[in-house]
Amino acid sequence: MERLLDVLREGLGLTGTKEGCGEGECGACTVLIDGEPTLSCLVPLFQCEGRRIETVEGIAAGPARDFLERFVATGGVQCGACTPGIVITAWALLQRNPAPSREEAREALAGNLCRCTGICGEPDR
Amino acid sequence: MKSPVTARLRADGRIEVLTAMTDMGQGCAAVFPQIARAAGGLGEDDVVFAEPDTGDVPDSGPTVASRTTMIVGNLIARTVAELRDSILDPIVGEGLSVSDGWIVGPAGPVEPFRDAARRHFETAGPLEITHRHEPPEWQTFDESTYQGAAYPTYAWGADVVEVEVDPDTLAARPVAATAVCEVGRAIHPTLCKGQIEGGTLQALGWALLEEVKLQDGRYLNDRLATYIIPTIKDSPRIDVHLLERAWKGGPFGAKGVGELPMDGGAPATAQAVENATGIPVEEIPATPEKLLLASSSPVGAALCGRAGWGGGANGKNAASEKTGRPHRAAPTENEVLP
Repeated sequence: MERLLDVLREGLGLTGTKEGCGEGECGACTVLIDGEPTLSCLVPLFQCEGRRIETVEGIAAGPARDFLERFVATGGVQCGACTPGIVITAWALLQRNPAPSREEAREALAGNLCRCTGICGEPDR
Repeated sequence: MKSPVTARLRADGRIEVLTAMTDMGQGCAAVFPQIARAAGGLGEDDVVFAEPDTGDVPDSGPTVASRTTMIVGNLIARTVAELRDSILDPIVGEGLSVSDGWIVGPAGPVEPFRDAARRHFETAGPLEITHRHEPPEWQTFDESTYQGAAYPTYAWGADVVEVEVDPDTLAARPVAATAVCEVGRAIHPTLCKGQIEGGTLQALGWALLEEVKLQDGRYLNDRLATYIIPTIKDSPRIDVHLLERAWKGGPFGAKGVGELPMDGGAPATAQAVENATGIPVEEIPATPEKLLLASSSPVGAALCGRAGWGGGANGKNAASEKTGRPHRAAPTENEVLP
C-alpha cells in the first residue's frame, strides 16, 4: 500500500514534504487535503482520488510567498525537517482564522514537533 | 584535534573553503561564510564552501560539542585572510587592503578583488593554504584518560525557570524561562538565540518529561509516541539574553554555544519544583509519580509500595536519605502535599 507521502516524494519528486517519525506523531509530513492539514504518512494513496493535495511547494509558489518570507526573516527555522509541516499547518490556520490569538496558534501547532529552534517563538512569527 | 581547514584559489578568482563541518541545522552554513567574508574583506559571491564530502575535504574533526564556530570558524578566518594576503602581496602598491570585495588603496577603490585573484591564478597557478588548530600551550588534554581541558575557553550561562505545580496531581508546567548566555560574540544573533531557545526547551523536557527507559538493554520507549518531548503547548515563553564580551581566541570573539543551552535549564526547573512543593527533587524528570514517591506522603508509599528518594512514609520533614537535607517546608505545603 503506497502512502501519499511516498508518492509525493518518490513518485513526483516533491521532496519539500518531509518524513519524520512515519507514524503520525511528529507532523513533519503535513500536507493539505482539500484545505485540511493532514499527515501524509498515514494516508493511503487510494483515499486521495478526486481530492486536492497541496504541499509546501504549492503554497510557496502561490499566495503564501510573503508569509514564508516572514517565516525566514524572523528565524522560524533551524534544521528545517519540521518546517514544511509547520508552514502548512500555520498557513491553514491563517486561511480559516486570519488573526489567531496566541493560544489559538499554539493549539493549531500542537501536533508539529520541533527539536531545534524552540517552537516557543513560532506564534509570534 | 588538529582540525585542518583549507582555503583554495579557484580559476574564476573565487576562494573555496574546505572543512568537514556539516550543517545539520545548527547554522554553520550561514555562519562560516559570514566569518570567511569578514576575515577576508570579501564580497557576497567571492567565497564558496565545498560540500563536506570526506573524499574532498580535510578531516577538520567531527561536527560535535561546541567546537564548530569557535575552533573551525577561527581556522577559516586565519586561512582565508592568509590566502587573501598571498594574492595581494605581488600587487604593486602601498597600503592596499580589501573591503567588501574591492581592493582599496590610499586613493580609493582600485579593482574588484576577484579580478586580481583570477589574474593571480592565470600567472602563478593554483594556490592553497591549510591551517591546523594549535591549542595554547597551557591547554592539555589526555586522550587516554579523557582528562584535562578540552577547550581553551567556555561560554557561560545562567537560567531562571518558573513553574506551576498542580497540587492535586503534582504535574509541573514551566510558565517562563530566561536564559542568559555569555557567548563571546554572536556571529549570527538570530541563529545563536535559536540555538539557545531550542536547547532550553530541550532542557525543560529533560527536567519534566523525557526519560529513556531500558529493559534488558532494549529501549522501552523508542518512538515519539512513548518518548514524550515538549510540544508548543508545553513551551513557555523563553527570553534569551546574549552577553557579548569578545574572546580573543575565537573568530571575531565568538565562543562555542552548542551544548551550553542544555546545561542549566533542568537544574533550574528541578529547583523551581522543589521550591513550589517542598519536595526535594533529586532525580529528573520530575514526573508526578516521582514527586509523589519523594514526598513524605503516605499515599506515595502506599501506592507504590516503597519509599521514594525523599524518605517515603517516614512522615513530614523527614530528611532525604541521599543528601541528608531536610524537606523544605513550602509556603503552601498543606495544599500541595497530597
